[in-house]
Amino acid sequence: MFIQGPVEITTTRLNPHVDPTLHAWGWEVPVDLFLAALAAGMAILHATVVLSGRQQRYPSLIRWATLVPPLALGMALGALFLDLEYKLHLFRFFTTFQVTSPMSWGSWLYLLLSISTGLTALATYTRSEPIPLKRLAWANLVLGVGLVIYTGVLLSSVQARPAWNSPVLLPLFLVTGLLSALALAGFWSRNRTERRSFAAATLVLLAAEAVLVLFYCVHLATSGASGSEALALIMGGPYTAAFWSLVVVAGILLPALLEMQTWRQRWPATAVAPALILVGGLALRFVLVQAGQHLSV
Amino acid sequence: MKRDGSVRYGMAVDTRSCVGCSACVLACKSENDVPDGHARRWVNQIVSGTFPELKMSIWSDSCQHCDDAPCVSNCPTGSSHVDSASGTVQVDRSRCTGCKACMVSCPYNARFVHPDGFVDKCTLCLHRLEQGRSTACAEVCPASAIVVGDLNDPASRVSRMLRLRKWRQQKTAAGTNPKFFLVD
Repeated sequence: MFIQGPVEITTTRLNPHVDPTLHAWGWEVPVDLFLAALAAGMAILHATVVLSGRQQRYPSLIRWATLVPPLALGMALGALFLDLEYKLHLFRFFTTFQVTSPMSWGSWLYLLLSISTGLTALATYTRSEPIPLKRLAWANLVLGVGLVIYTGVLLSSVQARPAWNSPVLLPLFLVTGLLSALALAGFWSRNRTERRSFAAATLVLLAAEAVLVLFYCVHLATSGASGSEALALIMGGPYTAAFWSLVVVAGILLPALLEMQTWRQRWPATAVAPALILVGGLALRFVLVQAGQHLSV
Repeated sequence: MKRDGSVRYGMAVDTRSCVGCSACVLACKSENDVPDGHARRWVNQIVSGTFPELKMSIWSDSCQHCDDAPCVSNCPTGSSHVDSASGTVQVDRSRCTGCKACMVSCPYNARFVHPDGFVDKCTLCLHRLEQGRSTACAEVCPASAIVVGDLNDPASRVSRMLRLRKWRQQKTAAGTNPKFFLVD
């Protein structure tokens, strides 16, 4: 119906946090997604070590992966609570189960993983096992994988936002969740053998993250006009600097270089690489949450 | 209004008649007590082309009351729902947590957070439809550009309009099957 040429759009709508660009989710949601993925990643790693019977080999991981998940989940739920506009209705999440809503799945997974990781911490620190640790490890593994996948599905299921509507976000959030968990455990590790095996695992996961970031860009580039517009947000658009400096350089390339030296035993292990990985994981979620809201189909 | 689920209300806006006077916007605010600085209904204007080959299109816009509403499927509490009697998309304030999952999933950005904490949007004046009346926006429109009716009733004015005139829907790529039509 329109004549070709320039198009000028005017609207009388000026709703807060909607116009000129949507800003419904602020800092709380990326912090929530990061902490949830960190907690889930730690629960998965802890469960893997317990189920394989290698607790003696990973003392630092066992110590922190027992304590961190319930605390991180509490903080993640705190961030989610701050994001709610009607805080008194928080209980509404737990009076129903909406099968088509990723957030409904997420709410229940938060609750169940908080309980199972809380019981794991209790059983470990009180040295009493009301429920055998291996059964709890299985629960932590299943619920942890479910929760970290949920953090990806929450965004990727939104068809209206081309920067989110990518299946690559599921494995990307799983990999970065595991990376953050390894980084936090490595941050405090003083055991050289353990730290070296963390460096090896971190290198594999960083390579996977780099490939997934590339796949994400390729997916957007091949998803039609709206996908190309979404890609432009991190390729010359307003999120370019944050994405390439914090996510790619600080979150992938620099830690890969440092961990490579640690693995080869050329440089001593420091807390720098784990800190950079944690910053990169948080920055990835900030960039994705904000860039996704910037553009609709 | 029939309660057997056979009614499916929709809205059509005649872009040739709409003059962009915003009477619909004010009527909606007054009828539904929409707070200051917020809008359930707004007016869009698109000018395209290069002078002197210019074309302008104006229309009153709102929630599209989609048949496959992503705000409904993404709502974690069931607050956003399809009213089975009218086929319209509604928000149950008593169940809304203000998580804004519906806002990010709506491709039309038709929702906003009410200052009282719940998410708000056009209800298609359901309270008026239940009394057999039209919406406030359609009633005040001086150009009769807004037409509301049952899309399942072939004799309704909106159905006849859609049969006889060329129409389009917004953002069909989102796959939401909106019940909001722009008649050109």
